[in-house]
Amino acid sequence: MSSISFTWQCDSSSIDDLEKGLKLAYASAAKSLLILVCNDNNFTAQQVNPLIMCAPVPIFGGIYPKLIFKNKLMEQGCIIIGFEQSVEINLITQLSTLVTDEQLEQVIDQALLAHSPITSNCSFLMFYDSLVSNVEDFIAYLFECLDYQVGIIGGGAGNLEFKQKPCIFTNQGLVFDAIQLVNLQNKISSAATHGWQILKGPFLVSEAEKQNIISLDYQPASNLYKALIESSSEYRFNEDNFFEIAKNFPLGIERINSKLVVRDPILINQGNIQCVGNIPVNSMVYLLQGSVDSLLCSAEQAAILATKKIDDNDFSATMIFDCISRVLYLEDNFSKELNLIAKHCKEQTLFGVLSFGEIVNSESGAIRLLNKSTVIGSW
Amino acid sequence: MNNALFIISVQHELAMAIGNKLDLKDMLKVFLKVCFNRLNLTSAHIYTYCDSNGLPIKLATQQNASYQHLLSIPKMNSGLHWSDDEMLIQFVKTLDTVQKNHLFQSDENKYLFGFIIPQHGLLVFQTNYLLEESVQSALTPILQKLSISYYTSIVHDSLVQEIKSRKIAEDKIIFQAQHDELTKLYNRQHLNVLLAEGIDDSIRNNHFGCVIFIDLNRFKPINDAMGHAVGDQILMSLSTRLLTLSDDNQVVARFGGDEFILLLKKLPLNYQVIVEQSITQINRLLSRPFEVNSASYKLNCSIGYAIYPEQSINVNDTIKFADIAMYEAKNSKTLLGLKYHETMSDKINKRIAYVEEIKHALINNDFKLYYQAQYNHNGDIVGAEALLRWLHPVNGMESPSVYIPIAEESDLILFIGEWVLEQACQDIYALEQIGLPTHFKNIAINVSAKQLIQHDFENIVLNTIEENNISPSHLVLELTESLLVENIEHSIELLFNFKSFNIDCAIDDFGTGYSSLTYLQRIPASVLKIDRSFVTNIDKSKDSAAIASMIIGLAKTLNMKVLAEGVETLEELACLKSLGCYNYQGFYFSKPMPFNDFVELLSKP
Repeated sequence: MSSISFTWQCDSSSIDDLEKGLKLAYASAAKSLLILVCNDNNFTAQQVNPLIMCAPVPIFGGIYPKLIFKNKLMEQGCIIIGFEQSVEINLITQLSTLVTDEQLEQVIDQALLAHSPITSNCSFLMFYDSLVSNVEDFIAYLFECLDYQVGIIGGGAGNLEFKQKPCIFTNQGLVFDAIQLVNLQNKISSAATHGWQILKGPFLVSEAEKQNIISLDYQPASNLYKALIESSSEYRFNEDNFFEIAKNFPLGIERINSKLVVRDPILINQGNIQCVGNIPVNSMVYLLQGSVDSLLCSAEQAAILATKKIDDNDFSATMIFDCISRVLYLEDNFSKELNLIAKHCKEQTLFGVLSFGEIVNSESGAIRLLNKSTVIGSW
Repeated sequence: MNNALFIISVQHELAMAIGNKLDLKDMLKVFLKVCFNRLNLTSAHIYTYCDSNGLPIKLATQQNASYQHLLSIPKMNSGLHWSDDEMLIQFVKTLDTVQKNHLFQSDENKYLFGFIIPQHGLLVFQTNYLLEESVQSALTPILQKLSISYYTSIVHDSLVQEIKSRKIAEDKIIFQAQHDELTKLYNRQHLNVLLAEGIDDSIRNNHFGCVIFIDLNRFKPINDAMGHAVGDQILMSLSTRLLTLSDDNQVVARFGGDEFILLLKKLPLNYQVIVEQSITQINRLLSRPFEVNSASYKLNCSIGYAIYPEQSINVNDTIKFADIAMYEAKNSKTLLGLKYHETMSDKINKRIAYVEEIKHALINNDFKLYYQAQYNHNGDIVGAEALLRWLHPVNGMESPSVYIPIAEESDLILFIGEWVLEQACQDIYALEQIGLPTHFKNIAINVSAKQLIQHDFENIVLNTIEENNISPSHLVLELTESLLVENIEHSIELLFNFKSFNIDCAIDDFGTGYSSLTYLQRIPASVLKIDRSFVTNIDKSKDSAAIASMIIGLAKTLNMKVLAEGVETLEELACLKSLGCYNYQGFYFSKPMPFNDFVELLSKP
């Protein structure tokens, strides 16, 4: 079991405080360390690298826009979690250079082969640079190479300015353009919900390229999207407010049995809508809307499902990967979401991050990239 | 309505996913991945109908064929490959039998749906929900379309395979044309090409090159004694070692047999240092024994080299010069490697001229047989050894130690050997006609290595005896100990054959060849001749006496007669007698003499 043996948290944005925390962690009995840091701490690789490259144990984690500790949202500060066991870390770097299917497959095979065999009792935490463009291809190949019973939760690290900076903690220093897979070597109980509901649709994705929707129902995608929102709400688009409005109206890709995979439109690019995650051509999408109640309810639902005991064993930790856009949407109500989640966590350490894109297994087992969702995992 | 739209959208998406790649497996993988995402599958699998070679085929109407697992996403299930999953195996078996859409509920929330890919294979989806019938039906036209792409990919794959096979065959032909079959090093033909390029390049770019000719010393005895399999293993092992010297400017080739060439290209003006380093490296590579079948073989080599364009700009000449230098190094018994020099060619030319003189001597009957009598302890002549003598028209009486090694390098030794045999048989016939003394047993002739391995040597001997109408028992073949050991199995067989015709054998120079007693026991020889090196001063040397005593004891044990060569003094004779040796040959008794003198000697009372 990857039980928690050390927990340290501080709200300060000072590098000295991180150094203090790391010293305590290094002196503890922890065999591996998860380090989470708020982006607003503005730590640079030059400041952080000397502190982490001397780590006597394997380290992992990332820099996220905000963190969660217990039921508290952290705008600044750090969290260090120590594990009783030395976890195995697969680090895949230079993702942007892996352009062909064969390259991805080869890198994943090599990364997984380098460590102990992966059994159905293993689970992974996945930390990655959210500006890696091929994360969905990566997780598709990862799923192919893994046993489908292997659980995984994760989330994209980075900053709200969408600038690529080193954001993944490794024993070789902070890195970017990378994906980190941490094998917990025990089962994880996970759940993912979003709470967004259908407003209009469906619309046929008549043209799309990866994360860009070019046309919907054979009309320019951005025109149709804006018209639909303006006809059903008081919002009016101008040149600068696309994301302000769009954060309230995500798109949902229809899966079989009326399941929706949420896609977050983040900007308009030459008339195309750019989302966080791929949109397949010929898929059906809906315009979604949310409400504070529906989002809070869904978050609580995720907490109930994720804290359901496995084999009557108590959990040591519960980790949240909550989409950054949820806090942007819920604003002050986000504290209610955290309270609702914390309510279902008993003795276990509760912590998490606000991320750009969430990773989790679907009910069928396949690994999915979600947007605007709450992913919770307990182990 | 929305459901209908959804199904149409699913159909469109799946249809668009078909045929995106040409390779069958890749094409199906793309399709399965879209199925996976769109239909929320837990796992997906494709089995393909195959021909007897296990290659995917298109089934003709009513044709039955076996199927094979082709693809699963994900690859594993509970630590096992899906192809080993018993539930899936059984399901696919049933699907193949019923040949229509098939459903199996494995547990509360797990379903297997089976579909037929017309004329090609079986498709299985695992879900955690019940796939609606409308969706299942919507898959039918998709699978028809998949079938068409399936066939296209099979044709493509077979074309790719054919092109690959052709490429492999072409590469193989090119490789075979350029490489030695046994060692996989470049062969002589390709070396010539590379050397020609190297010479041109050296002239154009004003640098040097070197052909280092490497010849293994005493490799042939290993090949002969231990068999070609062992010899080949050594050559392969040596080739692997030599290959460590190769790089862009250093080429290793097998020139033939146990001859290798290291070609050094793009050498600077002060090439000597590099060449010498290479020779040191070659010797170092040979310093480690070759281990074959738990036996260890220690070898060294003779090395000669020639520099281009300095010494030649011709491929054949450059190699020839390096070969001549190697030959010189071999004669000088040096391991340091010799650079070709014109005087070496002069030497070779002289040698060639000398060979011509030997040929003339044979034609002109300039060779003579002298006979040295062999005595028993009572002073009776019991036999003689025929010894070759050549009265050279310029040099006078030529020593056999000069011309025999030269003759042995070419097939001349065979002609000389045949001449000796013929002449000895004629002389024996003459003696038989005169009448041989009671104690006289036979006349011995020396047999060379080349004669021994001559395929029809036995016939030549028997025919000559028959043609001269002599008693075979009057002829003895003398073979040196080392010669016997080098060709042990063949020698034993041959000597047994001779023995069956009453032709005896003597082992010459005994004590110098490190014979294995096991072999000696098997050699059907009747005489052991103690080498003269142990006989000279035997009365003064305890070591020589000890060795002679050991040989005498050995001969006694093996029931062989022992004869001492080179007896020159009374003291030596006395000592040999005291040790139990009762047969002798040497100047003390008589010198080699022309046949007529020998006849006269025999006739003396």
